[in-house]
Amino acid sequence: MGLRARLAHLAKTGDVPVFVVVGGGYRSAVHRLRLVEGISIVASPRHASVLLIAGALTNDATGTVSHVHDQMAGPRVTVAWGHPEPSVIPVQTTVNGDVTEVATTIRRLFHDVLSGAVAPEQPLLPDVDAVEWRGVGPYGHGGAGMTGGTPYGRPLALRAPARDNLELDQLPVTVGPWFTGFPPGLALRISLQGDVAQAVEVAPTNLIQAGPAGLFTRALSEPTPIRDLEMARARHHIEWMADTLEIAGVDRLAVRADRIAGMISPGEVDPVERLVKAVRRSLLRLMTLRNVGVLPGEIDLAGLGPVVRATGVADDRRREEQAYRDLGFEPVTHSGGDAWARFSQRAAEAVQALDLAGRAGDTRAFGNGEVEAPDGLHRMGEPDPANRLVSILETVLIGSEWGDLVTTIQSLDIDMETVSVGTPAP
Amino acid sequence: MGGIGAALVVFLAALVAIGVAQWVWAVTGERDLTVPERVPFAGGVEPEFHAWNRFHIRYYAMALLFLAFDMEMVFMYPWAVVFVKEGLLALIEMLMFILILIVGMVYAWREKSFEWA
Repeated sequence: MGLRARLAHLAKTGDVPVFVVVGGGYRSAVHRLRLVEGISIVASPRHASVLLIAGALTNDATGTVSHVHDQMAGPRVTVAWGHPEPSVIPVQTTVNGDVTEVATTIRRLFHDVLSGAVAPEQPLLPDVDAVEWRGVGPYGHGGAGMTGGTPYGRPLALRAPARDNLELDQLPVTVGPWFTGFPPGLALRISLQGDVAQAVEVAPTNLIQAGPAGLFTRALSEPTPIRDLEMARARHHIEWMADTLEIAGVDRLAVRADRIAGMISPGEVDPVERLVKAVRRSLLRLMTLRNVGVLPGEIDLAGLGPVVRATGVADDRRREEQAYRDLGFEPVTHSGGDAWARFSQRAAEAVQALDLAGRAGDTRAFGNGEVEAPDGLHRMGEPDPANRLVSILETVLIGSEWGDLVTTIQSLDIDMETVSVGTPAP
Repeated sequence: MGGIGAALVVFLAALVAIGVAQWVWAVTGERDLTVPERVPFAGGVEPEFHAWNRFHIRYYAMALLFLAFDMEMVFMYPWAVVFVKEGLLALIEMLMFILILIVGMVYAWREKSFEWA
């Protein structure tokens, strides 16, 4: 056996590194995929061999997904999961089954590519620099500026005054829409001075196709069992906690949260309470969430669910539902309005939702054009709360350090599935 | 084994290591990175500006303060010798010296020198 064959054999015994582009209706499914043994979901395509397109994307996503595809280290292969044909980029295979089926397919394809049974995918984008890097000298060296010339057609950072009136370098960067620290589909144009965001603009985006109508959308028009609504709410909040813990680097607790989200049952609050205790014992609170992402008082937060309730305001549509009042429902609130308050708020709401689901029996609620969803108040015919959250990002994020910026966006729980910002550039 | 023999062994070992590294690279290295592979991952968008930019080292004031207090420690070694002979007078002089330094630190604090971001 040659060296290459030995290395390929060694690679087959390890986890399959997968980078996921999450489309409409598949956020929860990807959480379940994280728990499958032998699959490792990675944060950058540079570490991945398999690109998984989970859920539906619009045709506008072709350019950015192609770019992600070409940034994977070879040998690379692409799998679509629940993504309608034709896919936004060519794929090796499409799976429409459950988590087990997609995991089996991914592992089989990975092994086939390593053993040579399936040819690895070729790059989709041309292998040419936009502009050759060439200075003024005979060997392409020298010229004006720090590097001489314009490196690969990309100008160097701009100059702009910093907060102490010094003229300093300011680097405009676009991050997203598939950056794992941001909600899938969100792209921001950020002007960075060091690691401080001096200007933030939401880039035009309309990349995610909305999945099938969820439980809370159906509850707008038909009375829905409280038990189902509260179980869905608890699962949503626990999965959000898993994402937050993963971004904060507490992977062990993130996996634990995903496990809990997959096995919760009505009235069973102990696992969630134990998870929250474990988080409180970690340094997460002091190091990354406290005093981060405090929302300015002038922003109207009414109807933004846990975000407004984490500022101490008991704004919850469930209070007006007789069925909830009969269960003795009172909104939970927290004070502070920072990322830690929002974490505590969602954790407390997950516990409350499981308790309500355990006591609700067959009672139903809503169906009158309004519903209190996990991300806030949804009204028939009006934009979802995510649209308002995206519109306040620019105000909230300016002046944040990079790490705090990521934490703040995560703490707001934005789902880009129903958000469309401007028209993306062709 | 003499000194020259030991050096020769190290030299040969280095040559073998280089040879092995070259062989592994020749066997496993496929090709140069393509243009998209060379670009840093930022979420699927091509960067418009080159990432080479200068940072403001905001901790420089704190670094200077650290140096000042570090030097203060250096002064304390000879002072300890003098203190044995002079007693209370030397103690008062050192306290005055430290007080002046603390005033400087309070001033830096007021000027927000300890805020890095």
